[in-house]
Amino acid sequence: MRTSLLILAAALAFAFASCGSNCCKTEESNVPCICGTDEALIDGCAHPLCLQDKRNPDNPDCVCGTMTFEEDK
Amino acid sequence: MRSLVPALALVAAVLFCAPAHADSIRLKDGTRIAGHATKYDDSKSVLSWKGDDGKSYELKLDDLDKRSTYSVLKSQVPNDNGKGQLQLANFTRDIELFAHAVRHYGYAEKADPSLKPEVDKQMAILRTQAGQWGLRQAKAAADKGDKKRALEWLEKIITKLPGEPEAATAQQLLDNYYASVKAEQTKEVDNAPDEKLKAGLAKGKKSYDSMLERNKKALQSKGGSAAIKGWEDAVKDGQKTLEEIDKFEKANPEGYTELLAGYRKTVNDQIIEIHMHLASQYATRSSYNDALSQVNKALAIDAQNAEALAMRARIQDAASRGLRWL
Repeated sequence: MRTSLLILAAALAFAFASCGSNCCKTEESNVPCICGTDEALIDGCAHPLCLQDKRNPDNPDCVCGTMTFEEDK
Repeated sequence: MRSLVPALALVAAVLFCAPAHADSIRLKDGTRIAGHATKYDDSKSVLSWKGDDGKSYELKLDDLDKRSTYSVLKSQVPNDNGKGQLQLANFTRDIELFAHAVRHYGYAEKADPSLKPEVDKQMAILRTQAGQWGLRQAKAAADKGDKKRALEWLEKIITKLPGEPEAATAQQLLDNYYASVKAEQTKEVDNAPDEKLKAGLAKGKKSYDSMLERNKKALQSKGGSAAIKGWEDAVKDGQKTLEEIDKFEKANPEGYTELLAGYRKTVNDQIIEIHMHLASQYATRSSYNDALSQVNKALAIDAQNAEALAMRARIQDAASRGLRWL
């Protein structure tokens, strides 16, 4: 049982580490995605994914990042 | 059961990291099609799209809305293609995605430094267009009777585009909104419930009014060191105001706590706004360390201030990647 718990802990640690900016909680990760608003047009969006040139999948108005093609997946 | 535990953890890992939604594309008529791209034929300007509804679409670039067109074009131009990035930047600017355009100009210049004169020329056009666009936003807000929003747009134009004719127009328009918006923000103090409070905070109110006046003068100055000095003095006035509030509370520990907390918030919000003006002023000069210092001062007052957190992230990004600022 102890071994299983150790493996579980390791797997969870891996899970959080591999999530990158998607779910790791830093102050900057609290910055909302403002893509689609008037402010974003002139200020830009500071959402962590947008700053990494990635699309925020939670905001359908996000135009950051490049389009992914099926063959890329 | 035991062997299931790590397996479950790995499933959790995958679920945590999976994107919440699929991609989508929008047509000119506003229709949104969820799904994913499968191919783009550059020679025909046709995007092949597999919808989540199971249908396959052949979409002409002309039939997509401008932002979806931008997404397609962006996926075709690598960041190290200087000329491509320059063309993409011009397209992006002309569809009013100004901040995105600035990034592409930055990539163009980085990829091919010989493009700098052309990038400078196009950036000048961008600044004019962004200023005109901002003035339209201010006018639209004013037409709706939203003076606060109109003022926000004017301040944005002034602090982001110093030296531009649109900023000069914004400076002239500032008088139409500034006094009434600020009066609305301080009406609680002006309508103080008792004379003791009014008299006790008279000095603080004077400092606060001075802060507002200095802020306005800095916004209406020609920018540069005069504006910076004005804002720095305005922050000092704000701090004096807070000291007066503290003094009053010390002398009157009962009965005013909630009211004074509200006053403090009003003053602190104004101080934060001034730090943000300073940060913007420094960032436009690419003085990113000074800009960061101002944002950090704002965050020292309110660690969760969304505007300051966003500004800090944008400054750090621009500084670390050597990108241009708008």
